[in-house]
Amino acid sequence: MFKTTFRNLASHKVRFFLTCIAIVLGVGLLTGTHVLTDTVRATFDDLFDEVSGGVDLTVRAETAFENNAYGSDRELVDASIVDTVRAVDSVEVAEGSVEGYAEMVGRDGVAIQPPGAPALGWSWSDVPEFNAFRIRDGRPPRDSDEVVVDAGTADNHGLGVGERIDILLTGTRQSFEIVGVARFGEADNLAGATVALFDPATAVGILTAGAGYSSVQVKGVEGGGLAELQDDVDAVLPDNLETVTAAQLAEETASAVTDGFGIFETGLLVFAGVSLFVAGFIIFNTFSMVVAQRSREIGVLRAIGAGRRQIMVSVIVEAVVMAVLGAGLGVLFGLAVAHALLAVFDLIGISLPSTDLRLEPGTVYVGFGLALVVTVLAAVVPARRAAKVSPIAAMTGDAATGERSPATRYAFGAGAGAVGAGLVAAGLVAGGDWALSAVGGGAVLVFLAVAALSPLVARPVAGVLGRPIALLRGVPGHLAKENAQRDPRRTAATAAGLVVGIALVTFASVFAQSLKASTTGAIRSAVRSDFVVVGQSVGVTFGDDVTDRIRDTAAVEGVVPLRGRPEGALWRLDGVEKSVVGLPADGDAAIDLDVVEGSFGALTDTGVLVHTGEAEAHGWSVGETIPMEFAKTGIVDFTVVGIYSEDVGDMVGDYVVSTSAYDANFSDPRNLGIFFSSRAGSGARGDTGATLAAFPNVRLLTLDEFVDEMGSRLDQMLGLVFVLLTLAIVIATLGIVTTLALAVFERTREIGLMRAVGMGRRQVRAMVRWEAVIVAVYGAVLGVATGLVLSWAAVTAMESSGLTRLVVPFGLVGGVVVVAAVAGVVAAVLPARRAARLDVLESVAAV
Amino acid sequence: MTATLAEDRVSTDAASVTRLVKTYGRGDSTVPALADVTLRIERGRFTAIMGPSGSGKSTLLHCMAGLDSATSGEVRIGDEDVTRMSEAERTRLRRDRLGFVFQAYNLVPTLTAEENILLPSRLARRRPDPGFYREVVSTLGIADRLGHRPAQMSGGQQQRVAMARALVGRPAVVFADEPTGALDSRSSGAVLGFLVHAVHEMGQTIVMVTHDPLAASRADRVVFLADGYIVGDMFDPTPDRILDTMKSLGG
Repeated sequence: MFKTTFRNLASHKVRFFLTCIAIVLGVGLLTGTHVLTDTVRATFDDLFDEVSGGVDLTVRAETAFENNAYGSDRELVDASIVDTVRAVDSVEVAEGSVEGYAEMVGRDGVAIQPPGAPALGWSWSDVPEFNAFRIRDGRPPRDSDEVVVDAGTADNHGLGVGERIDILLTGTRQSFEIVGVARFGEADNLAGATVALFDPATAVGILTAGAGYSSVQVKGVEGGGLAELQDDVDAVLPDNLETVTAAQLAEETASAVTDGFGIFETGLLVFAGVSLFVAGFIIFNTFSMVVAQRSREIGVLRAIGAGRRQIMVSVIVEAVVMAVLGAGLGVLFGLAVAHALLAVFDLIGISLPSTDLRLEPGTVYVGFGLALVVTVLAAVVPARRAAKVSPIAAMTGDAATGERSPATRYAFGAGAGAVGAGLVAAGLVAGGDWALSAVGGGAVLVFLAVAALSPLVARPVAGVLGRPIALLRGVPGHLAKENAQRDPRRTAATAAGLVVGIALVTFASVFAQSLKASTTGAIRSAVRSDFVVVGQSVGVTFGDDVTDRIRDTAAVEGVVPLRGRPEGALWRLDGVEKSVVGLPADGDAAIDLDVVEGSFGALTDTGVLVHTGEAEAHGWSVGETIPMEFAKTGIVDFTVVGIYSEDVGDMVGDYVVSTSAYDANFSDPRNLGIFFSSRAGSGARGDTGATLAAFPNVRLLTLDEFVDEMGSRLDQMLGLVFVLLTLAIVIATLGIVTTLALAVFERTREIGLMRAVGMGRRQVRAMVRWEAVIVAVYGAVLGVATGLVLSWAAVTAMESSGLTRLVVPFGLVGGVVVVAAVAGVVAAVLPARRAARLDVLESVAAV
Repeated sequence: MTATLAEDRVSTDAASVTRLVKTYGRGDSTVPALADVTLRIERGRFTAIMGPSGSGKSTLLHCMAGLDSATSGEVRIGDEDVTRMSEAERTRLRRDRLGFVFQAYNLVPTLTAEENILLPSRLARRRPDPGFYREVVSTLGIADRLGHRPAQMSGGQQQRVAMARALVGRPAVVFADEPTGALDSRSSGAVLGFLVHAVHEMGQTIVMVTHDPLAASRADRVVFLADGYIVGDMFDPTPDRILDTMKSLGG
């Protein structure tokens, strides 16, 4: 008896570790993400405090809303404002500063385009409070021929003081001498952006074409108050200008930088959610099995007078302990995650000014809170079952753990499934802020439904999957099949984690492939041009100087620039953010959007083309007036001049204005692409190729290449999703390990018996291994099925948004099933070894 | 000379134990379970091993069956030295040359009666003699239970299935560890009747550990154990004689 107790304790450690690990991962990722954003925020706060001492202001043009990560969407400040501000008594120093587009060209002649960050040009300031850059080598820029570059760019591209560098500016390309290399505070660069610093006079000329300053920096007199300074300055400013404090600016910059991590953050949080969800299944399963195994012990407790409530509480308390320890480890793991992420960012060139991790109390509360909620919810049902064990169980050892009525569970499953699928579909169709919550919540319901209904099919499906194994693998295979079919509820619960991971993988890949096929198909049918000029790397825009040069080439015709921003040129409709692109009125020669009402050619300075989906949603027809609110210009009334039905995805989106209207309302007249065709019989590619040699920031693609590239962007997105979901499969595998280990423990006597009558160790291992494979493949099959249903629902729901094709990547789906089988083999290694090493005599004698 | 001795053993002994010692624990806290046991089990005989609790009777059975290892001494099944075997060889020995009937929980719950009976031969990927299989099954009266799982059978039926499993491979020895311990007297009688039948009609060798004098009295010979020593050896036993011996052992 003592022997079993000790064995129980020993198995506790492993089980505890395996059960906790999913919580640790979930809480860890959650914490890591929060720590990362808090750290970035704190870092910028510190930096600006340090630089400005907290007593300075920035004067700039007001915007209707923040729509651009780096704040370039503002009207310029007239140069005369600097003098006006200087005249205020409480102002000690005021200086105009400018920022704009400046893209450096590397030694190899290729433009240096930071991935996911802008190429910036700034004016240098000698007032240290106004300038977060500190010279590392050389000296500040003093001449129109001189530039200082950020240390990150200099180091990555082998640039040094004394060298000459070409810089692409709006509409031109100029050569400068590098006179200095500067660091941004403690960091080598500003969150991945490249920065070229010019002397103020030069900067005004090349970055804003002499039209004014981006902002005016103000430092108050010694001993003056900040509020007082702000009041004084505000008093002399015209209405369209505002003042912001250094603290506010720090906050804005930090937000901009953290927004840049948005994709990472969302991905990590989604995965943290998935992993906590899977943890719930694992905990549920573990506790269910442990309660069943302990029924004799619980029976004894009941027999000597323990109440049902006490039994239930004792199980819940165990869950709470597990949650607290798991969350504690998770928070520590989260710090490591944040550290690793910062290191990764640094590695890919996004350096941050400091790396002192910030762990806010809120982060810890959220981590512990979620872990507790998940664990306790998962343990409630097993705890109730434990409470129902009768004192008779002490004598018989039989646990009366039957559930009240499977009908309730099936009803719940059916209901949750229907509601969940509806929510997923609704979320996908509606878009907007709550879409992610709706899709996520819906998916959770769908998975709960699958878990509730899964025991219905577990026995027959496991039978079908096990049959070939039983035929090929003899007795161990046969026993594996029988064991997998033995308790359908357990098999279903064990596979549940895998179902979640694999359903998500399937959903993501089918959805992405369908989106890719639909979008690339639409682009191919819409684009009439032979060639497209795009930025050097994905999502980088370029100026109209390229357009002009292509127009000048004799061999081409139908040159159409597509204005826009990679992250979307944002405007607002009644406070809801939308994005827009700019095309000339003759743009349909290059991009045929299939205008079903009105005409493309009617695109005037206040005309807008709207996609049918949006037009229907708002009940618009041609002639309708839409109040479009831009950050730079405020509300401008546009008239719907046409409604189009072609869906080319993000390339065009739902709204098109004229090129001139775009330039009037956004401060960067830059292009995502230039479309053109060759004149009959001309070697247009050769001609334009030569022309474009002067522009190292762009590439010339044929239509086919362009379509491929648009498609491959989705593949990259899918890559990230895959990495995260693979981790979900790993966690689910841990769940299988736990269940198998418990099952082996439960079947000790049986295994001993089989060993006694001549089953070899290899045969025992094979039996456990094949059971794991059957359960894992069962999970994969159910996961693939769930994923297919979800993606079918999604694609059907989004048909009007341009998702016209359902593409199932069969190879990949088959691969997933194979991966699951392998995961089963891996999961079985330890439990199988344990089973094979059981001492025959002790096992036969085990109670 | 040695060869003749070995041949002699092969011809008459199904199993033999020579100077077998088995101690549990280490150092000062060793507990001797078997002190010095020498025993020959003759072919075609039904041998019962009796003794009070802690006498070492189960340990002796386990060592003979290759389920437990000896501290010193020799165990032979036929001409094979069990004490020199690796774990894999002992597994093969159990599968191919021995049969087992335990007190309870003899059957794999996921398998039907028939699958349980054929388990050792299927583990060895052998086909048992179908005629003998039918004979065993009909003798034991379980022909109509073959498709049932253990949970659907009574304790007596389960023990009969276990016996069928033990007998169907025509093992050198069947070891039965308190085979009637968990049964009512009627089922016990039936089970013992089948054991006797197997020995006398089929020529099977059976070694049974029991503490029940009535059960032991059905055997051809009873070996008495106390404190790890053989203290008595009785042929053609009766319940009364067995009880007397047990009383003298203080059991």
